[in-house]
Amino acid sequence: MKNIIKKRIIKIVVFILIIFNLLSYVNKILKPKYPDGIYSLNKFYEQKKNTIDVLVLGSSHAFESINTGMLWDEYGIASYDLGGAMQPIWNTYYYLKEALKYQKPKLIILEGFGLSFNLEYGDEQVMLKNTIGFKNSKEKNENIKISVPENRWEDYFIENLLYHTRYKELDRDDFYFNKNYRYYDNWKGFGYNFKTEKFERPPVEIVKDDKELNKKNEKYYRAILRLAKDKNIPIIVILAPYSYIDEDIQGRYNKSSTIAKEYDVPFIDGNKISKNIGIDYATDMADALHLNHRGNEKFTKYIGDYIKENYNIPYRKGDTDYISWERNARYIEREFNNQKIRESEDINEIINLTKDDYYDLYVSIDGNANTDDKEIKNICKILGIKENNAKGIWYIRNAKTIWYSGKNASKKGYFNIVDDITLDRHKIDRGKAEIEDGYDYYENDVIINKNKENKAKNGLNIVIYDNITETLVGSIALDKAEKYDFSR
Amino acid sequence: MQFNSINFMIFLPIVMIVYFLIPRKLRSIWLLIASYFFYMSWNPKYAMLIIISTLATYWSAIFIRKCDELSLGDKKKKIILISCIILNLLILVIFKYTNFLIDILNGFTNIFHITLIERKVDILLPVGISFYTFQALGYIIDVYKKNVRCEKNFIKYALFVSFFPQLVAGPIERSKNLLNKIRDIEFINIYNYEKVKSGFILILWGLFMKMVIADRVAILVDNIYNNFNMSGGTELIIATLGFALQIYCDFNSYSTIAIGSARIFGFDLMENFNTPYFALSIRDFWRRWHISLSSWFKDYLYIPLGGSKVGIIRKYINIMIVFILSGLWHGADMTFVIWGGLHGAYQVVADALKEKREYVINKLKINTSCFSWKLIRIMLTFTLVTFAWIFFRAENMDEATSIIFRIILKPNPWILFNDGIYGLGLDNIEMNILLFSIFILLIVDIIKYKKHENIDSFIMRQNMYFEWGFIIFLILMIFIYGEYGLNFDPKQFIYFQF
Repeated sequence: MKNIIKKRIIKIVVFILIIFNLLSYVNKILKPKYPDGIYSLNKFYEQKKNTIDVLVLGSSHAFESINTGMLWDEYGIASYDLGGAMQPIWNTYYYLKEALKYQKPKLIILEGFGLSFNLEYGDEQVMLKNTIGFKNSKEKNENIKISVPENRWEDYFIENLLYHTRYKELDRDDFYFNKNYRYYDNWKGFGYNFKTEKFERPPVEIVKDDKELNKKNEKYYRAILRLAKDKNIPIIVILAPYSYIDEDIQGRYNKSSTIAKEYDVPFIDGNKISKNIGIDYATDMADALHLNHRGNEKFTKYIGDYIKENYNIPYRKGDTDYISWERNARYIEREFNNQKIRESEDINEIINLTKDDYYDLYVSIDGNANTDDKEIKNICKILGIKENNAKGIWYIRNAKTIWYSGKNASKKGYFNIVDDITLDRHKIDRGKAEIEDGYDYYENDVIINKNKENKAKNGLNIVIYDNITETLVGSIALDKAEKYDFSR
Repeated sequence: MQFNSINFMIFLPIVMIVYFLIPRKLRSIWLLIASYFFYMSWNPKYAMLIIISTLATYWSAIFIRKCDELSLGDKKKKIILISCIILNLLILVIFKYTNFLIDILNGFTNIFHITLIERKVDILLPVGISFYTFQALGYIIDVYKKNVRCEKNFIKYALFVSFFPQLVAGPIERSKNLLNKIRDIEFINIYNYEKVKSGFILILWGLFMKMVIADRVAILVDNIYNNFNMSGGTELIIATLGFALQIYCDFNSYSTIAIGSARIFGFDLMENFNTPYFALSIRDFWRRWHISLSSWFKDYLYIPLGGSKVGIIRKYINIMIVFILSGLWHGADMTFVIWGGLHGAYQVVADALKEKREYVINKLKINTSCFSWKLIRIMLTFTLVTFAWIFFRAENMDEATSIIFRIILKPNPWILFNDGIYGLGLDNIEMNILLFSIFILLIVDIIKYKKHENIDSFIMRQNMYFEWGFIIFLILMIFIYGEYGLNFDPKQFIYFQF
């Protein structure tokens, strides 16, 4: 009898363990992994204890304007952008409280966009992104209670209620949990924005007065400043430059500056000193609210210089404990280089920018184009193509041909890294008449993940793939009918 | 609290654990407390009415028993019985049918352009009132007929009336079954591993039917029916078929969870559904659908009226009475009366045409012992039942008739050939989940139909890897694909207005 009872108890316990683990795993897949608030916190937990020296907190203004790679390269600073989408100040307070459980930063930078809000609660997206990233803790519970109206608490405490219907939207990131993939491995929270939109500088000086902050905002703003003071960590409040500001908002920023003075905390209003920073609102903005890659380089330089002048932040370059920052900086540099390639209109410049061992160039000469055509002869030379009077597909790396299929040959090559790349030269049926025009009997396909990337049917195509960021950088099509004019 | 709610998932284990630990003598009082807690979680005021019904039937039974013991004659007994029945039915009528009666009254007087009563009465409709009233009435009638001993223990009797697994939507239990079991509650061996396990499997299966199938197809049904005047005939047919699935899964899930929960505490409730859509005739259908209600009506109304032993005309009248009242039991609207009447008419016509039917079958030499004959009978019965569901689902008679007209006059069958069916409220993914789940349901019901075995005993007979696999499968389906959480309310069980 006792044996049977023992067996049954073991069965029940094992079964419950299986169910619990299975459901946790499924829940992990279903849980949203948005980088702006959820994954930024998840990645933060993975940082080695007490390695972050400068902690940047706030909304998207925080994580899109402070370039962790540049702070590392120019100043040797190990920083982390711990931000969330449209993050209200009360969430920032709990992010800070949570962060201080794991890190002892030498400097806290609070980006103050959230100070301008005038709401009791954020909307659905904001509430979700700024609460569910927390590990289960007292801080998480308090954070939820203050961010979410009481009638919604059940949804947030039993998170699954919020997102289990995501089964319809599952993607690669959900199953791989962002590991070994793109920038996530060494990510320090920086989210660069490469768009460019023209704006004008907001005339913020004309607002002289302070305007009262929303009560909830002020309460948590002061709490943040006090918390930093209690922990003896210097804190500065910054505002990244942006253009969508009205009088009320600037009034609140003025008030925030006044409050900061009460605590002896420096307040840097990026818009007020945009000239010193060198911001050109016509070229440095991604949208009405955010700096783009050009803008954040200038702003980060300004902040970096300010930090260097006023604070003693350890120089960490060369320290092996900080190697992930080095990798992060290299990655960011690579992304910015890719953006340069994308924005360039000069083919020679582009080829120069891709001359290293990690850029793959898939070059195809299609239709009635030919390596001897005078417009592209030089380009072919710089690329390292040796064949004369040829059509085909070349896989080139650093001016060396790795794989080639041309002339009267059908050949298929598969190159799989993260993305699936197929280079396929195959015979197609063309009418006899067209041979005399010099048309190819063959068709060249450069296919990346099921998409054909070499677009010019008659001409020179260069498809650029970067192995460091594991992304397709872009494809250039020089159409013979357009006299090989540059086009994308 | 609903069965598919976090509250119930906390409530049930707590009640169960305490039940398993407390001394035997306290079992009935603990379940009674739990049952009232469960009931009052909807609205504390409900308790008043169920207590009145409980007390009325309890005392009436004791008086009737006294009459027997003291040989006070039949007249007194009858008066007590009739008064008790009238009291309980009155409560039911007042709280459920007042507005319906007002509508009927106004309907008559409107002929003379007079609206006698202007405003609808704002009255509380307690959940489950139709169920427990019938259960209590069944008891008092059984006591009168000396079919069951009168219960002197008030706690045990009150538990019989309010036992939470079956309180709100059945099965409607007979005192011969449930009350007798409650009488022996101290002696049941509740520490039965197999029984408790089978109870949990049934609850899981019920939650699967409710949360994955019923609540999902309801989205489509609601979308079409709530916009019926913009929907084509084919869409309305699809939606009605969807409703046939919805009401089956919804109601069956409730009974399944009830039976599973009761089994955990050591009680075997009666079966309420037996693969009804495999019925060969309407008469057969009512032996398979809401069995506890149709058998209640048969025993306490049809047979006392004379049943089938009073000549053809009277028999047909009896059938119509029983089914119209059954329709009315389901809802306080003319649509329910028509729905019930339709089912009665189906059976009357089938019975009346019996000889003619057999003549035609013989003449055409149709083989009645093969699968194809069974299949056609099942399909025909299903069609008749589905047609009747239109009246059940429609909000009122106007809507029902409009829908029928649209089905006949505005067919749009092309939506079956382009991807129109994915635009009725459920997209490709949701439809796929639904169809896959229907496939699982079909297998389970076929197992029941062929082997006369419920899913819990079938699963528990298999090897452990299959048993565990099936349970894990159900849990995952509910966890991932159950209709709960953000974007939707846990759907109200359809039968809760009763």
